[in-house]
Amino acid sequence: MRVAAIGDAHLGRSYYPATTAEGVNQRERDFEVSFEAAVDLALAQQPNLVVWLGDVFDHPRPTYRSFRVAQRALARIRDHGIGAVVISGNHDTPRLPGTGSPYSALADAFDGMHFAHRLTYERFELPGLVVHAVPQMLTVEATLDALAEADRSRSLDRSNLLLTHPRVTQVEPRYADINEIEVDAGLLRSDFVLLGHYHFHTAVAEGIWYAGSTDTFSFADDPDKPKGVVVLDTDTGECRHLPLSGQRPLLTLPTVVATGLTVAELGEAVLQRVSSVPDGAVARLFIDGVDPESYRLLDMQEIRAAADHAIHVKLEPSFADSSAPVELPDMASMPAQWSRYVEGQDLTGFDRARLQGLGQEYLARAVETA
Amino acid sequence: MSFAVDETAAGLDPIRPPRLSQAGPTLGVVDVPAPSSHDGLTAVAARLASLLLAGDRTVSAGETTELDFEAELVARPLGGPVAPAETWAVDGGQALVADARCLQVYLTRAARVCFRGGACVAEDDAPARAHLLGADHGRPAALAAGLDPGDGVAVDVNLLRDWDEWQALRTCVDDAAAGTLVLVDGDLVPDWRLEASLAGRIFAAAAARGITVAGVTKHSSLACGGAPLVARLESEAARLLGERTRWWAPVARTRAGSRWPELQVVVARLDPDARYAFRVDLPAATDPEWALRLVAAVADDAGFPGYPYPLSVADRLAACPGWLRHEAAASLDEALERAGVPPEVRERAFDDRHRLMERA
Amino acid sequence: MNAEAPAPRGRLFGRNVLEAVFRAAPEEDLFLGELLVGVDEATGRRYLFRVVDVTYGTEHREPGWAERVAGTLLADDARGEAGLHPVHEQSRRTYRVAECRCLGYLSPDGCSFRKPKSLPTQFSRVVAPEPHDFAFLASRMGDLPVGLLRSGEAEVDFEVGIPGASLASHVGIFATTGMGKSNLMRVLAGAVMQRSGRYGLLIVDPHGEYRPALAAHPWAPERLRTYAARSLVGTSMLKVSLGELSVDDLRTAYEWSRPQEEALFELERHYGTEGLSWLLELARVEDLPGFRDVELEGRVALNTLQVVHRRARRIVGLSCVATDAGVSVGSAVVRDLSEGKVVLIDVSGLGSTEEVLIASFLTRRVLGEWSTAYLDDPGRHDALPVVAIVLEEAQRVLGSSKDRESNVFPRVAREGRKFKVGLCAITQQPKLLDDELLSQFNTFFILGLADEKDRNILRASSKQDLSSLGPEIQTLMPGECLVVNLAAPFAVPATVHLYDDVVRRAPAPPAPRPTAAANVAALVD
Repeated sequence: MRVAAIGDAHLGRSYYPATTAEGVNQRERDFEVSFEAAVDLALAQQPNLVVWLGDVFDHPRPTYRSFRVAQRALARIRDHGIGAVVISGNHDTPRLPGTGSPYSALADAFDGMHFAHRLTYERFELPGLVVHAVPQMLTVEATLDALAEADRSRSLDRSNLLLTHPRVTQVEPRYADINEIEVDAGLLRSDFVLLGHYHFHTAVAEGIWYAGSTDTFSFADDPDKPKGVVVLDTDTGECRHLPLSGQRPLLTLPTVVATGLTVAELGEAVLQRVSSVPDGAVARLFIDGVDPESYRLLDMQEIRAAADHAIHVKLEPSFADSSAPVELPDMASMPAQWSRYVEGQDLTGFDRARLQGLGQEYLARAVETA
Repeated sequence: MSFAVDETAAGLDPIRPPRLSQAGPTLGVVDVPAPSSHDGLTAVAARLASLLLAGDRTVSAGETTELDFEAELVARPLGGPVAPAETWAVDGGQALVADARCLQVYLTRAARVCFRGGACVAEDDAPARAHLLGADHGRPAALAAGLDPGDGVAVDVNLLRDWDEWQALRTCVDDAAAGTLVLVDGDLVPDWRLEASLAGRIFAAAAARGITVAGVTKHSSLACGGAPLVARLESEAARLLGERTRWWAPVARTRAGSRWPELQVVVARLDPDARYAFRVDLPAATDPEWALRLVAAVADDAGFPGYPYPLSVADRLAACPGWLRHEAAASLDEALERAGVPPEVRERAFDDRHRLMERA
Repeated sequence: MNAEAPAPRGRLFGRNVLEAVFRAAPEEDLFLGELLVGVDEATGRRYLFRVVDVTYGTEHREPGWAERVAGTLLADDARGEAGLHPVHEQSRRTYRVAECRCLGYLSPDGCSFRKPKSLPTQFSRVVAPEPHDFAFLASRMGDLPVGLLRSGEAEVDFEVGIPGASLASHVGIFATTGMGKSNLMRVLAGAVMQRSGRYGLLIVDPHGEYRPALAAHPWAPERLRTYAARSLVGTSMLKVSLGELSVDDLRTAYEWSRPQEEALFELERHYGTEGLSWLLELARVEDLPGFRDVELEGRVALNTLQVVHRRARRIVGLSCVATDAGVSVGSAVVRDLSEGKVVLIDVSGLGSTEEVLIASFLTRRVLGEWSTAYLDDPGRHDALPVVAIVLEEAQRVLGSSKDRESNVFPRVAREGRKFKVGLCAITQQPKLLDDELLSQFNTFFILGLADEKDRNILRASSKQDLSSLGPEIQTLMPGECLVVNLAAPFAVPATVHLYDDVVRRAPAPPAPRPTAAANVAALVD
């Protein structure tokens, strides 16, 4: 049996101020495109089953457009006559009562497909395969109980496939994430295990794989590692990673070593690097050991102009006595960005309005000081 | 007289009794080669060798004629030990504290210990008594000690010490109950300057009260053919009775009419593992074998089998060790100081000039 | 004299400020290592002594007296006549003489303890210590208890331990087989668990002997994390990525000849991958001669290459080694340690060299984390707990021949203290440890050690004076030890708790706050 698995897609996540002509954040659109391409790639493998491994949405209250992307993808899968199993992840599981889950809405619309999003273990019997779905839970204990139940419920005459969305002890994390549930790989007991959460395809142990994400969301997601989908053959036990192509590149430009350079030389070097960024790419440039005074004297207008063809160029100066990565400041849009950002966050237990107000205040103060 | 053992002693000549000689105390008549020279060790060794190896069995006891020796010295097995109800032991000690040659300061003391059931139940060490002796000081010293030596009798430390010991012995006999064994270090012959009847009275009192008195001499001067008697008896008894036997041999009795108390002298090996046999003096009326069995019962200490353990304790108690001597000397010096005797006078009187010579 | 004063165990009669000799009272039994008090009535001081030797004394001065008496008694025994020659008044004529080391004295008010600089009055009474005599020690026994104070063969109701901060200045546990090393380590681990995160321990366990025992501790669910190379219940899978291992780890774990080491560097250069990822590619090479001739251009001898190839295959084939660079428990281990847990790495089933490989990697990782924090983020470093890395058979990596730059363990021994990273070295043969490294260890737990050379090297390196304790160390029974730690003024004799008793007596950890059950409908519908 062939199972195509799609990992984290984080529909609705946005980065940088660049927007499309329609006014959608460019990166958000990139991730939608990648997700749709991932679905196409998965369907092209003619699988018997498609599984979504959680964090398809970046937050539990996606926008309508993000929701529509997911809805259309499910429709295409259904139109191909293929079944699907969908679980929720740490980003798209609601934590605030009264929110409701986007997967509930999808489950209502696609009642032939299987959804595990109700914070409980679900067992789906399919021809030739039993799928054990352990979605995101609220506590580690609940997760461990669910995994134990999944282990106990294994079929003796069919292959068992476990789907879940943990942070695994045996895999090096790249960064801290919200609401993570940590599980030891030894407790993932099934004939095959497919995992969402980590954004790079990894063989954790015999029969246990992270599918990886459908795009490189930021520099923290190992731009060098290909993103895509995986196909698991339950007959042979082989799990292949199929990379997507044509995605927007994230580049780290060659570092400028600023020690001993004059302001002019520094500017020259920065401009040269920035100009070399491919069209439409996202790039970052490290400037090591730079004198703060020299940095302040750089002609940011000129640099911005040279970076115009790129989606985003981030300068990361480390000063002679400290290092503080800073984005190329775009002062006008900062408060708006802050509001937009806060709007989309799951802030259980926090006063959203107060947070918004505080952020505005700090930004204003920073501008004044600068 | 002959010296023999219970079994026929093959190859031994009988020991002849001493023959009285005209010239006072006799050492006995022995045939020894006339010394060819007295000024060489080799010659002395030769002479000693002939004495130690000679077959002469003539028995003697130093210079005394107060003893009648047995016709035959027969070593015989001694019956098993019989534990006395109680054992007292008496010993004396002395030390020279200050010596001006014409004057001397001595310490003497006597000690008694009582053993019951193998454990020491009483120790009586009277404090050491100091005496000034020499020149005309002997008699006052004796009188101070409760002894009247008689006019013209020389008083020395041996006399005073012996007196202390006999006083202690009498006290033991007075204190002891029937069945008690009272041991004395050395023979039972009081110093000749003491009253002749002293010992006899004590022995009689002891006998009347069922108390056994015995004197054990560690190193006897009894001679056989001029060589140590006890040693010769030891080797011959070992050969003929076996290595691990308790045995005893009557040796002599006080001669009738002697000024000595009525005694019997025996030699006994009191433990199967004893290294040595000892001379034991007993009152004449005592059953010697019975008395020796009593003594044997307290002569079983692993430290020195064959020697009565209570006597070794009394010996230790009565000793006047160096530190006691030094303490006494220091106290004397202080007292003289307080009496106004200048240090120089004290030094000149009591310094040992031999030592000074050597140092110089 | 106070009518209620305890009967003296003896009377002092000689020696000097540091050593004392006393004659024991009749019938008094004396033990090596016994702690006694000399009461100086004149000054009011109480001198604390430790018995370092006991000899026979006799009032008889004749040479060979005792020997002769023994001979007589033996002869009686041989003849079946035991008792024929009793030793009358034996307890008075023979006695025991105890040689003691003076540890110091308590001032008359009992508040301060000083090192010995004066003599107690001659013939002072020697008595058994009372509880208040040890009160001065209480504050120096730290917060990691290991056992009870031992005086000779008896236990005193007084807890002995070390300050957890000592873990950073290195701990040595030295004992011959069967003397209780493992039990002591378990007790120490249990104590760390109960300190609620103040200290961390990384235990590399080659025989799997700690796992069941530590898991039984009431605090284990919260404060113990076990990683195992084999699939074992209740443990996390041990995974180490090839990319994280380094040539230095290889050089520490295996013995390499010079040509073999050169080969390693050559291969590293050739492949140019991260860490030891290239081992995977090398392991897959089937045609070694071809590979050598073409890829390496003959720069490495074939037989040298074969050795490396064989070892590469072995390492790559280990179940705990992952070829994927992302798969590693390194971060998890570091995180657990920084939360002040006991982290047990059960490498049973691995060979000794692989065990050292894993230990070397984890140690570098921990040292790197703590040292980086120390250098770059002092605030975070202050918040990190003191951690110690526990190594069995430590002579494998701390011997003189192993002291080179590639070996991380000597580096920890020399520099770890300032980063709050210490070593806990367990060995049966301290004589095989490098002298200079051993001198870095500030805490010794000395259990029974049979070999004199081992005792000697500890004497030379110890931070407390052990010179007179040779007989005591030689006669230690299983479970008895000397705790040598600078916090205490002398080497403290102790009986280590039995771990099973510790587990039975340990209080339950604070109960976690209960979480309310999720209202699923409210969340998702």
